[in-house]
Amino acid sequence: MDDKNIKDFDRYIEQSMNENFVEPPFGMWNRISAELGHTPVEEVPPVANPMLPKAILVGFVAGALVIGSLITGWIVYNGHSVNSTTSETSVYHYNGKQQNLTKSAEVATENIREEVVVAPPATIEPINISAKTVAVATIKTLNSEKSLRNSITSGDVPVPTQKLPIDKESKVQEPYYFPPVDIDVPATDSHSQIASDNELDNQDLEESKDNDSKKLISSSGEQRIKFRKKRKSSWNYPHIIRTKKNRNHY
Amino acid sequence: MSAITFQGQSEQHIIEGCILGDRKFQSILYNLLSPKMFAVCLRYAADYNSAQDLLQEGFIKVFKNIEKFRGEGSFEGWVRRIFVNTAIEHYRKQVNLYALHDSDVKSYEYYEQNALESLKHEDILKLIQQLSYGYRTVFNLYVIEGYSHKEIGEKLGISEGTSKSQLARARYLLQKMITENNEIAKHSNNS
Repeated sequence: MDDKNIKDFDRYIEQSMNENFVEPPFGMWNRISAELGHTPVEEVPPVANPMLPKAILVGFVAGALVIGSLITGWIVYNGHSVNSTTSETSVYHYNGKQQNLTKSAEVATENIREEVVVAPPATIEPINISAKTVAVATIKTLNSEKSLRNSITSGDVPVPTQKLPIDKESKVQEPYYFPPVDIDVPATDSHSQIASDNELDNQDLEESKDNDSKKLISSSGEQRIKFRKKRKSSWNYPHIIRTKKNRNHY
Repeated sequence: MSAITFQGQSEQHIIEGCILGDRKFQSILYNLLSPKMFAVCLRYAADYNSAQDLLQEGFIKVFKNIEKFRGEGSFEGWVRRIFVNTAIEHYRKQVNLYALHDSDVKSYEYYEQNALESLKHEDILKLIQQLSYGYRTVFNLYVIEGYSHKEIGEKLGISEGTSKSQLARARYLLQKMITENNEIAKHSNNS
């Protein structure tokens, strides 16, 4: 009887508890959601391997050395190559310039040769020219003589049509005679003469200014028109009369 | 697995969403199971506020370990076990259970079954909460959860005899409280 009462008691309580639910208070989900949002991530404990840090360090150092050597090698190679390329290019440019120079020199020499071929050497040239001119002059004189003879024969008055070229060398070869200088007459200074000319010009300008005309008469006597610059108008800002402010207004 | 649905979502779909950490599915699962689990928490807790703490702790454990659910058995039963274990762990360090000498105490001699049937669910719950931790826990585990004394002993770290004596004492005290409460109610009605 006692066991039956106990079983009935337990069954009734179990049924009452499992069939009836209790609503949680409002806001519980917010608490749980906030707790879920701020749950810290569980940190994985580090593996206790004493050899691992050394291996990592050695590997890191070896890698750094290899990378450093590679970088330095690359820099050195590139620097050398850059220098070599620059030198080559410079040489190339130099060669190009040289080639250009040689080409220009060749062209110049060719021109010179052509000139040389066409013209006689400079040292010989005046002699040849003189010879030519002399030859031309003789030919022309002969022709003129012939023409004179012909004109005489024809009865016309002979008139020289062409001027004979003056032989410079013959002139140079001739002795130069200084003009005779009279000791009694004082020598005129060229500078003083130029200054006197300028004074004359100024006098002419002054005379033209006096006449209030723009026409200027130069020393040569020709009229020159000179445009004067417009004078600046002497306009000023109106004078502002300032009165002393009364300090009591402040 | 029971094919329950909630808000148009199947249980499997809800679980998969919770495994992915989707807050929407977590909310659905909370709304589905929180009334039942809060009743469990109220039985194991000493008061209403402690039950709230247990509910929060239990749901956080559920959401964190939901991927461990293998689909064997009821999902609700799996969640309920988590809550019970959470309640046991919560109070295990606080109280040391000890065996009672009067383990052969059977029932309160003045107890009447009619007195229990006249009580509401909330009243019975309040009487259970008035029990001490040891009595309350063993009574809940044995009477409501259906654990054997051996399983209770393993969970609480006590012997089977201690579990039996704790249960007998808890039952006796409950019957006594129910009888006294019934007599008070009778006197108040007569007066």
